Amino acid sequence: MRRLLPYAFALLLLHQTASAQDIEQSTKQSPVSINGSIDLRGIAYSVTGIPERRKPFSYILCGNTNLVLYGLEIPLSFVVSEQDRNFSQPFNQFGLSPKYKWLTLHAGYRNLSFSPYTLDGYTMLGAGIEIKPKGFQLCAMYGRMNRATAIDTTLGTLQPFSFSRTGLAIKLGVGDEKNNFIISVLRAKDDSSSVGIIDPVTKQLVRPAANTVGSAAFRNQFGKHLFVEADAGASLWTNDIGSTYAVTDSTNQWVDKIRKIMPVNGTTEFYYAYRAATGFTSNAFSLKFEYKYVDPQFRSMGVYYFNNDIKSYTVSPSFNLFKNRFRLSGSIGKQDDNVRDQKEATTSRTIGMANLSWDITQQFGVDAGFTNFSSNSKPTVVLVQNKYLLAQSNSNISFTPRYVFANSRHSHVVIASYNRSSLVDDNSITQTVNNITTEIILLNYTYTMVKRALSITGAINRATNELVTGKFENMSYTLALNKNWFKGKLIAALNNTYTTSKGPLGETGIYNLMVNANYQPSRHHRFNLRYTLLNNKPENASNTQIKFAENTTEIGYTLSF
Amino acid sequence: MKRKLLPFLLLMLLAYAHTLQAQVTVTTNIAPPYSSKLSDYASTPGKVFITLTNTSPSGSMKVYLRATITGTNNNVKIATKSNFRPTQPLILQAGIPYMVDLQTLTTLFDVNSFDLQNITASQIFLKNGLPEGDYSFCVRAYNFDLPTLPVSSGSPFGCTNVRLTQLEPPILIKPFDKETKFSNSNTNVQNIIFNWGIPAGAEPGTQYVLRIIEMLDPSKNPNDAMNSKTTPAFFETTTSANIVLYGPAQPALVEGRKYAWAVTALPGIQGTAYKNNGRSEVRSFTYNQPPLPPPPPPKPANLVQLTYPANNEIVKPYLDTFFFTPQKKTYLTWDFDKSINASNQQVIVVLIKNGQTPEQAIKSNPNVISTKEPSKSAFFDVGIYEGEKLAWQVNITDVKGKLYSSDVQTFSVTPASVTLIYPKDKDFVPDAVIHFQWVNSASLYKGQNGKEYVLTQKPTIVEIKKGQTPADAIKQNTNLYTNGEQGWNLTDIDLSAYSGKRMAWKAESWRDGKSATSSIDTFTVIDFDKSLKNFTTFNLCGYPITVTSISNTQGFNYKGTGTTTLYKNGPIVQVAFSELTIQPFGSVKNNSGKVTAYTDWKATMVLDSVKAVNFKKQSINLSIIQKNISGSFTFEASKLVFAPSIITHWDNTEGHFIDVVKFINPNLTDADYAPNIVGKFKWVSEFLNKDDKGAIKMAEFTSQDDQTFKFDYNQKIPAGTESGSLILNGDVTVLLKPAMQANTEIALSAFLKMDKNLQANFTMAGWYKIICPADSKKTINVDFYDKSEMEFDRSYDAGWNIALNKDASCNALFNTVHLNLSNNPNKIFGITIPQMKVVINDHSNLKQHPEFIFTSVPVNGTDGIKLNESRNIAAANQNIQFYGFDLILKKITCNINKSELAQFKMEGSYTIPFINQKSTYTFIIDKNSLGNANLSFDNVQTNTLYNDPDKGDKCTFKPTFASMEFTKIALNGNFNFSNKVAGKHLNVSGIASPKFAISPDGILSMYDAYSPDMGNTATNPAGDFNGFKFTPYKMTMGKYLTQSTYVLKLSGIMVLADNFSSKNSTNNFTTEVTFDANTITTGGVAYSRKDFATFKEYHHYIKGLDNKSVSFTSQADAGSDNESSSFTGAKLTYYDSDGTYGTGFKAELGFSLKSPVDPTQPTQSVNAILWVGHKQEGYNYWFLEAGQKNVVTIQTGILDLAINGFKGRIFYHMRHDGDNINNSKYYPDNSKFMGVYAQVNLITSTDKGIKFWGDVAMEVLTNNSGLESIKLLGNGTFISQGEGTDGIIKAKDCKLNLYWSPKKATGDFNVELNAASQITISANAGFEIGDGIFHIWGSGSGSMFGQPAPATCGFDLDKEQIRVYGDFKMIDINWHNGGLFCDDDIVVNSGVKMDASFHYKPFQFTGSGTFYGNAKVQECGVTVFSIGLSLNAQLQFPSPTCVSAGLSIFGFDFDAGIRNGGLIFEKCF
Repeated sequence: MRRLLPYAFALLLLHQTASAQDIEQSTKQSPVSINGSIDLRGIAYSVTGIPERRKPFSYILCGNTNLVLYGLEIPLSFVVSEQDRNFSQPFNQFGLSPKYKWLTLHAGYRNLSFSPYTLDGYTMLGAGIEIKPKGFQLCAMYGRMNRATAIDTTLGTLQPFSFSRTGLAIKLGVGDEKNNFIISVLRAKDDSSSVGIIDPVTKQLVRPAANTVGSAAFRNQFGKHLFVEADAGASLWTNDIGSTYAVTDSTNQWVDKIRKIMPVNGTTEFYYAYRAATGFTSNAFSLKFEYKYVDPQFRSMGVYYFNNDIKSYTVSPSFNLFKNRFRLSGSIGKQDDNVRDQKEATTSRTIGMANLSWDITQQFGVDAGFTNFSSNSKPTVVLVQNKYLLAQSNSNISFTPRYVFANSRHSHVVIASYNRSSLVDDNSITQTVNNITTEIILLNYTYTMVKRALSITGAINRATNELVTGKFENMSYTLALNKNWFKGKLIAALNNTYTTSKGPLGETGIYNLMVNANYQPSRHHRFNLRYTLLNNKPENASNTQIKFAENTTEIGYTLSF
Repeated sequence: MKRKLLPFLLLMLLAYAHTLQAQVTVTTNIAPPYSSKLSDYASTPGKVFITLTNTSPSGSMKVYLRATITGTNNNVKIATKSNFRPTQPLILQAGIPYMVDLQTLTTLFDVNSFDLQNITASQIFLKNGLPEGDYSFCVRAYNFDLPTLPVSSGSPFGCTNVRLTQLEPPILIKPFDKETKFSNSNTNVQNIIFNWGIPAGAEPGTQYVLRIIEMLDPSKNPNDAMNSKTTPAFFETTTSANIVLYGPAQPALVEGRKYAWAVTALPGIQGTAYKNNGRSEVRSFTYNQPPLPPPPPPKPANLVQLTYPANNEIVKPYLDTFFFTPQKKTYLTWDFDKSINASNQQVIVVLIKNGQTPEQAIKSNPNVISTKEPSKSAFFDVGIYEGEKLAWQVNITDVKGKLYSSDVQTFSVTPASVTLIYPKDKDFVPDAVIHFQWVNSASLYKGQNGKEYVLTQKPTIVEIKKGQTPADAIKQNTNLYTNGEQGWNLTDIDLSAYSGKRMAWKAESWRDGKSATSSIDTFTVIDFDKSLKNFTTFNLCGYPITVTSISNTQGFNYKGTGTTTLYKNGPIVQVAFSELTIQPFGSVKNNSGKVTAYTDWKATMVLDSVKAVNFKKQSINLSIIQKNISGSFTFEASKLVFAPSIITHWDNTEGHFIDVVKFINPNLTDADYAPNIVGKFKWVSEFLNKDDKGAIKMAEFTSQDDQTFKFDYNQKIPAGTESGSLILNGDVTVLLKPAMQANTEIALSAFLKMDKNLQANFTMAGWYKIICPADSKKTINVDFYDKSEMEFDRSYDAGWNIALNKDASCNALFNTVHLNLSNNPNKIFGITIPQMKVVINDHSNLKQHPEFIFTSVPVNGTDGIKLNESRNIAAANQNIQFYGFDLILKKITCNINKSELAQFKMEGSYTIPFINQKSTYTFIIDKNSLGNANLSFDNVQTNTLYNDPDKGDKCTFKPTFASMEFTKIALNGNFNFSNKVAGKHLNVSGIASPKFAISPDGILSMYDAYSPDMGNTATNPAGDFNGFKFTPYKMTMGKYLTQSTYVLKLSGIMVLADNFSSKNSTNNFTTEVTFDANTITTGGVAYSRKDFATFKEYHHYIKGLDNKSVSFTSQADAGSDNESSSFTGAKLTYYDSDGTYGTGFKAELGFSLKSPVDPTQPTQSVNAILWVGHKQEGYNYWFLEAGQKNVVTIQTGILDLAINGFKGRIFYHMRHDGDNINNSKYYPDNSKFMGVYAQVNLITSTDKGIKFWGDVAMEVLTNNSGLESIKLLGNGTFISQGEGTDGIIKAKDCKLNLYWSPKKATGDFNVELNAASQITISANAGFEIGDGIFHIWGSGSGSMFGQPAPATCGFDLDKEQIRVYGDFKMIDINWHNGGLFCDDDIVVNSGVKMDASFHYKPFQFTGSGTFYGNAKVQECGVTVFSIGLSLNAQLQFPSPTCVSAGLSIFGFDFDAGIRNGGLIFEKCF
């Protein structure tokens, strides 16, 4: 650790920090004040016909408060529930981030983001500091990243056993939001002796690992409209600190150098990733081009998840015309995997997206959207079974015209929507199984009597899903009411939906009821009652078509101060 | 066969070879998933299983292992180095399988000990493993001591084939990360698509686990949330597709909540390995941000409103140029809601200091207004605050001391100024002595400290030399004014030396601490040709005036006399033009010594007497109306000012005027003078104002602006303090009527704007307000507030509209608006009253409602008067009246919004087209249509309806689009009606004073006599009436409303018997025949069937027969004396193919007789019914009833009971409806046979403290198979001794029925106990006993002191079980609060309900107890919220023994029928 520090400080940082709020201006009012809210919720649940889908009763108490002491702000958050488990991340968390002017301290469970490669929102239990005077930033966070977990049998392979893991992340940056250069580094290591432990469930050996990630980023703005930005990260990951395997390529000089920072052996892997983008933005038009490369297996202990083995290009134009009444944005990109030629096939994905929002008149407008993901695999080796070659496209198209008419007495909102999602498989072997088409059509009308504060909504929704197993067709009829009383202090909403669902297994009628009452007698207190009823009544109840009814009642109270 | 055998033989051979060297068998197994990392195999326990078995008989062996990994589709080959041999051997005991341990594997799969082909170690390092592909893992055992000697067989023995992969986890597609909006955003129908991409290279059939968890703390990281998820997960499903449709049957997602989700690909059958254990990234989404709640009700406007000045208005102190003294004060005005009973009104006006907000200023600065207790307005000396910004607020205290405050508003006052009056900028002045005038603003004279100052003033008047700007000239040139400083604001300067020069001037004024300077104005000095005096004629707006004398007054002003004719060939009238102003527009151009002047001129022509001029020509719009004047009003002058406009302009470069005189109305020609008065009217008027003591004050008004008449009472008439006269120097003629009354309050200032070409007469009185600024042409905006009474007379050209309250901000309320249309009789008038509804609603609780009255309108126009629904008629309770003028209308089109108009009334002489007669009439349309519209004809006049069928039929009279059902045209007199018009089959003659109704379509019909106000009853209509001969006292016939039925009603005086009636002064007899027919022919009453709507209820009409019939009803009413008697219920009803009754008749007769001796005795009555009919189904029925009551009384000898009446019925093929004795309905029914019913009326014959009266009946019914039932029915009222008329105990509606087959007896008894209405108990008991039936029940409830009883309880006993139950109230609170606007109620009650039942055999007990509570909140009588909660527990034993408890929520006051919900705990043992 001590050896690491000079390196750590030599590296620079990236991005903005997490959750401390800037509060220095509100300190004039009174030297000590506390504000925030505490939220208590109880949820009761009962079901007949099927196994319980949640606990019969659960509660949660969470609070977000902000204590201000002579200009020093101490935000505090906590969550308490009966649901605490001994998982890698405890359910119940507590943390605070006092802030004074440009200095912020962090303690407790915090998730900060330094860079997409080093520390990116990973929750740590520890302490941190952010020093951000104008034009300069230095941030550091040290703490536990995982706590050693006992095995939860319900989780199975999905939640692997883990060691307690501690890490240090540092970020150093200069510049402002428009022009900056930031470097950051993360160094994390499992707190274990070098001996692996066998996961009693998966029977796999879990070995203590170590990881060092460095990252650099810059952004440059040329004039008002043009910018260039890039960032890159490199990760060195030793899968097993205690491995006896030697590094195969011992001639590589910098392996020795790295060894000074972290354990390096035959299980050590090295990856890098980078991204560069340039763009033009103006009021009416913007265009952005981005290139991204991620090594296969790119991992970082400070990042929850990385989509890796990617080489992608993306172009995203957007238009904004007629005084913001016509908005069109889209992107098209090509994404390839197998960047290191170690897959049997290289899969190319073409990702297209377009969104249109057009207010044709003040009352009438249209939203439309289109997304398409098509994937195509090309073999890189001679013998690949066809069934492994992916050739399919997922597309989604939606079209939503809307009509809104409102004056001080009434408002009418009519929305229609058509949504079609399809998966088309071009692989002759798998297409019969994979092809899926889903269509949703809805028509919705809401009438609001403004003075009575009453809204009535009627809607019809038709959803059809064509799968290999058959066609599922749902027709839903909704009637909803929403009313305010006492100048909005009491809000009640009632939503009834009846759905007839036809599928290969038969027909079923589903009744959904939602009642929600919200009462806020003053600024400080809010009571909420929510009741949902789900009643599924198949025409012919069977093992596959189960008749069931679910009641969920939730009572909540929020104290704001 | 051979072919198949060959491989087998080869295999055998191989096996043989194997056994030769194979002393050891090696089996290799690898557990999936198959990672492409070698190290995973080397060091993972349980991953690779290698079993060695020593098959040699020679005992233990020392061996070591070598491995080969061969890629079958990528040529990669990895084999243990040839020189490799571990340090320790594996020792295999004979026959005992040896499992290779992890340490051995680690050694075996160390990459450093491999020989590599087609791949390098660094590639493995950099690529993180072997390339994907199908691999063969082979392990072979070698002799440890002889390292090159294999002891196990080679491939395929000891090998296993695997597919090495390291696939990406699924890529999530939808929902997008942090998505908040779903396609179902507005419906709440749950239908979300979870969609992810299939990992490239995944096996077909790969399974995916979708897991969704609810993020209880939305601020948390979704990864954390997923890692610390609840158990079970919110939703989890395994699928082999890459999509999950999350539909309505899935657990409900809650709007606004955040959820995290991830997809995990499970290893396939072939052990496909995925990175990150197959788990995708974790995404979050928020399920549909909650929809915006309905906007809260708009914040009610502050009850106290500041009206003038408006917020942030810049107020300009009024400069009175007439007297040249500054007008200092203005009025601050405000208003407050009528609901405030104000006792004190405090105005706070403060100066705003630097940096202060208006609110701070109000709090901390001194109040600068000193008015005491003003009402809705207060003087404020705005002039002394010139240049300041002020804040103000009004606090109103009501009689209870409650304070209402307005918002704080601000206004600014324009800075101190000097304004030049004469000459005006760019003016022309003659080359003579000119009277220069200017005026100073108020604060120059008076300081905020109250001090009055004397001003020092000085004008600067200079010539502008060539190339100078006016400002330069002021600075550089010699001031013509040489007297230095002075104390007054006018001065005379001789400009005779400056003819033809342009001049500039300014004025400045100063005093201690303050000064102001005017702008710099320019003017031109002209040498005017005075020979103009000599002209003899000029044309004044088309009127050629011959000048008989003319004289110059001052400058360019002349006066004189002349003659003219006001229209072609008209009489010559004398005129005097007192103010002929000839204004040179400039330049005087010296042309050969002559001077040409282009002029603009104005003349005021004073006619001798305007009223004396007989303007016959219709096109002349010239009238001055002086009417309805009362009080002390003086109409002082009636001068007409003719001022045609001239358009020209000064050309600076040329130095002269261009263009010549043009009239603004190009249609004016000399040939036809005075087609319309074009020009400006000026007249001066004044009115007097009386103060409290009766002294007359004169008020003065001046309007300077040509176009705008500012009518600011408050400013002009500070009550009792100032006086003056009103001068309207513009386009308006204003008449004030009556004079301002004492104590008249003028609430607010306003102005009235009129375009030219108009003449308007206003007659105003009372308390009113005008505030409608409007600038659109052709529109007058007027706003009259509160109790005004206003006559509004003006004439219009075609196409003009009067817009009242066009701007919704205006408040207007008219009591009366008189609209004089007399000046433009041939024009079409549109009267637009938009937005009236808004205004009227604001004042809807006033007692008086606005009326619009159109007077003296001889409307001959082709289009009549158009009142269009969309434009003309507005508010509720609004009246429109046409009074007292001749009206010859071909058509009245009046589209009226019926729901809003209160009344439309026309009075006057009126020619009705369809009868071609003139008539006086009162004609009112109210919101019900043309209701109460009486059209009266004098009976001295002979009127003929439809005497000319052509005319008659062509006429239309459709006052509304609705029908005229209630319209009545009364024809009073002797009339002859003919029915010459085809289809009008009515011939009535010689009828004295009949009343008939004329329907909107012109059809004359005799209307139903019963409808309200429909007096179409012919009195003494002796004579022939369509073949009937009648001589009744009164005859009525008509249709009711739109029905097709005619009712013939005869009524008169009927003498029944000597003793029975002396009531002969009014009708005592009514007979009514109803015909279901739509025509009456001369051949008599033609009866034809026709379906018609349900009858309205009439007292003699038979109800309940819901189809075609003819009824005959007759009744004779007794007089008011004791000997009266009457026939009642004499009815004959005829059925014709009736759906229920078939064809037949029913005759009913009743006769009742009051005792002539003792009127307190019960009325004796006898009745009989005979009813015979035939049903279409092919059977007959009949019914006979006879009865009497109080005719005979028979003592029974039992309990003092006597029979005082009886009734018997016998009926055939009929069914009695129901078991109730009070129900006497019978219906034909073929399944029944004969029935007999006997009823006896019982009464206690003497009053011994207990009274009873009631009926007992027995009914025996048979059907086609024999006896059906015997019923004993009872309905008695038993009153025990007690207080009040109802006594203490009462029994009623008791019933005992005996059924024959199957045999059954039922009874139902109700008893009520009432102790002086303070404690009541009502109980019900009953039984049902019969074959196999045994059931007894009872229950009771009651009340105490007006409240419902604290308990109700009951029991229910039958053969199998007994049940007892009760309901005990614990809390019953009714809270009532009279709220601000309406009442609020809260009702809370709760109680306990117990219910237990014991089942006898087998024994079973079921019991329950419920605690319940209800709460209901009502606002304004409407239930706002109601909820009930109940906690209940049930116990059941012994088989099964169950305990359950629950909480339920019910009673939501929603129409959707939601009643139940909650939680149930249930456990059976």
